[in-house]
Amino acid sequence: MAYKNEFDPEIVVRAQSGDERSRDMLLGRLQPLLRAYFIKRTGHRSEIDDLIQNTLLRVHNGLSEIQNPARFKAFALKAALFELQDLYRGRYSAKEYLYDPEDPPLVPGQRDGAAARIDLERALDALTPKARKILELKESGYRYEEIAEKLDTTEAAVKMQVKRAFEKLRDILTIIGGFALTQAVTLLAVGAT
Amino acid sequence: MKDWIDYIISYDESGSDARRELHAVMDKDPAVRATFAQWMSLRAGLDAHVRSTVSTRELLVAYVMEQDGFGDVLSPRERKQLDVVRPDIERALKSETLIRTIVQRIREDAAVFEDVWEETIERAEESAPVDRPRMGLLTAGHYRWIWRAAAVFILGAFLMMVFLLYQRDAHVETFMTDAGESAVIELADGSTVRLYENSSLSYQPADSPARFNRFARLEGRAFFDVVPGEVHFYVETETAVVTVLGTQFAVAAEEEETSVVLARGSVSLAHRTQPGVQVMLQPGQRSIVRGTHPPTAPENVELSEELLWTDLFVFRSEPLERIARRLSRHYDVVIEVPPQLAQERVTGTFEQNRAVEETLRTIAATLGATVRHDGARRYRFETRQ
Repeated sequence: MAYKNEFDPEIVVRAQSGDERSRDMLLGRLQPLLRAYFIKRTGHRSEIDDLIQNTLLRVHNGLSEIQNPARFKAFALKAALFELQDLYRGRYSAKEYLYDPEDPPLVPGQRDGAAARIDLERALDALTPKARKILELKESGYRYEEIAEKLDTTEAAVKMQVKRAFEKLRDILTIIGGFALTQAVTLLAVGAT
Repeated sequence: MKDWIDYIISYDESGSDARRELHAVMDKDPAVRATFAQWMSLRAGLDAHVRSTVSTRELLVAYVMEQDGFGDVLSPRERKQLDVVRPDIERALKSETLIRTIVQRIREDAAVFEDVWEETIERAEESAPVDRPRMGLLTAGHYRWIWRAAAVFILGAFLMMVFLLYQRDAHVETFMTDAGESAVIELADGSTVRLYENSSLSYQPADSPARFNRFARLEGRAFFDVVPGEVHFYVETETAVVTVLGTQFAVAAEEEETSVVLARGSVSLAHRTQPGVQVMLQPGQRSIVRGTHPPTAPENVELSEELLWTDLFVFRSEPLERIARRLSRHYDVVIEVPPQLAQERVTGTFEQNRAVEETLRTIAATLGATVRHDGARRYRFETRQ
């Protein structure tokens, strides 16, 4: 259980100066709070431990950067928000050999960045405003359940929209010349194993 | 018949059972695998669209924190980077719905954090012990019982630890290689380990309890390809512990030194006797544990050079002209790259004992290019007409 005095600035200062017990206390008290937060925020049970671990690592590695020890909460908030952005980008969930979020292919089949963005933009323009909005909400980190609530509809209806939008985008991007890389990504994965 | 597209578009919200089911289908069905890759490519394209405005999403978080009164917790580096991209962010907020939506989500995430923090603190304060009037000092007899209870607890905890370690080590299998030998070992969870010469790997067989089958002990050198799982994967050497968060990495473990190079994903590394002092590696980085010292700070390395001993070519966003030079040396062939392809970047892992033509054709396919075989030991990349 976390107690106010265990995020006390004095403990932060001691942790910053290398006192292991204080550091362990800070991180140990932060852990259940982070667990409650990530469960509430993501509903993702399989990634929760990794989210917590990575956030604690960020806090641990960045302790010396805290200028004002009384702002530990805000510092922990920053670390948690950074980690959530990694989750929303798909860093946690995609199988590594098919998808590297650190170096994602741009709209596949296109070598030039600007051309790739234009192609994706053209493809997205072909969607209905609602479908595009749903994809953007998904990309921003909203779950289907949350998107349904925002748009005052059902989760099934939202997923159907996404499925249709994806099928349309697949068709459009194949015609433009995109997704050629997808076959090659498959080949790379097979060739590498 | 299942419509796997439903599973694919819900992949990031699925539990581990549903993901395993999809992975099993993808391993057998190239069409489903291709569809999955297309979905991930689309998501990557949208992410790239965001990063064309601001190089990392962390800077959007930094922007929101600054705007909402938390600017003092940004590091000097974050503030400097934010200063550079702030005009782009502000421009994008006016014109790009995706950026506005991400910023809105960040604010909602922050609000929930505040709520959870306050709830947790309040609950803790409510259950904090209330000051009661002292009933009197504890007697010597009370203290004797307290010490006895503590001793029993410590002994019990020690015995439990011994029991768990016994359980973990009781069914260990060990695989050893001699000089000039190498082997690929598949672990119970589907991860693979490429073990090199004069090395040994101890691991849990398939029938050991699940909580122990993501653990291995290494002496020598190995390249790990770890499948993501619910439980972390641990690699222990004489000096270090590597905690794996799902990925590809190489470990070279000698008696007094363990070196870890990360190709993909993320790992954390600590000295075996100081697990709380960890470094986290990003792809393309190396850290070393020597003697009794904690891990060195992560340093960027040239992956393909660093991992030559693995019999693998590991390229991470490397320009084609550099890859061509490396492959030329290894295969003793000439590989020409036209200027328009020279700086194209490739990411992938290839076995060194594959035929050169097969490797070149795979790389060419990723770039939408072709390879021409111009004679016995001469190849040339060409753009598609």
